Amino acid sequence: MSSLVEEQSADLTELLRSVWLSFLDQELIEVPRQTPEFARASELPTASEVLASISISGSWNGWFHLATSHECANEIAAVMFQMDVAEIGIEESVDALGELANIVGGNIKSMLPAPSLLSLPAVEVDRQVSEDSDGVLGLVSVMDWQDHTIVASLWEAVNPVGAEF
Amino acid sequence: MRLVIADDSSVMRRIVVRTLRQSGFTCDVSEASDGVELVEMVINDVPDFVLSDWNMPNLSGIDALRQLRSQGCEVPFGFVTSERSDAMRQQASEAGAAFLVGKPFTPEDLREAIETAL
Repeated sequence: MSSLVEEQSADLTELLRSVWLSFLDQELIEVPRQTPEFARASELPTASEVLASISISGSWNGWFHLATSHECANEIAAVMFQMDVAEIGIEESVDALGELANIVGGNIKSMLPAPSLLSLPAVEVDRQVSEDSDGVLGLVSVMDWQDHTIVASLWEAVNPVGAEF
Repeated sequence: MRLVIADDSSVMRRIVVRTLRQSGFTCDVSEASDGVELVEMVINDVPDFVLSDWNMPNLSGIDALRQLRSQGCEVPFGFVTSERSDAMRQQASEAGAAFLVGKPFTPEDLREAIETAL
């Protein structure tokens, strides 16, 4: 992995930590990588049962994914809504993970070539980051929160359909 | 203070209200989940302040602000948004917004922005 990508991955990690501290008032811990880089989706930790995505289009095209388990998404929502986890339904966990993806994605966009547009978050349940997705893995950050794995990844589109300004 | 908060995320609306209360504001809050609701709510009963997300379904926060200003509504307005760039700050200012605060934010960020605007 190039030193520039390593530096940007470190920025992504710090951004995630900052968001977690601000909105969950809790620490995220980076999981040390087993391999120097994740070259393909199949090499990413299979954390995802809930996948929140933001797409970026324009001068740079691609998408940001935030993936974790159902259990983790529910616990995230419980903290953010300040509700008991037993009261959390799919609507709340989708909203919470989607908003976290929105915040991280929006901040990442400012690190990328401008101008570009940010989509609204899309959250899918029981879907993993696909090896067939039409993109190249750029940045990745694997984090641990309360013994749950959270995987944040940034993908650059291979065949972008750019937004017109 | 009577406040309208607009954000398509229910959890973010809750966090903003919580943060404002932590900042020491006593607020009577109405919530909108998109720009269409926001415009309707404000035109029907003008609040003391509006806090809005930028990117929302149906009508964005920036377009909602432009509509309000075009209808002669001068309600104090600020953005709380995940994106922040000089270009966006300029657009916000030109449309009549008092500030643009980025997410994540602290209670101090919101308090200072609102106090400066009011």
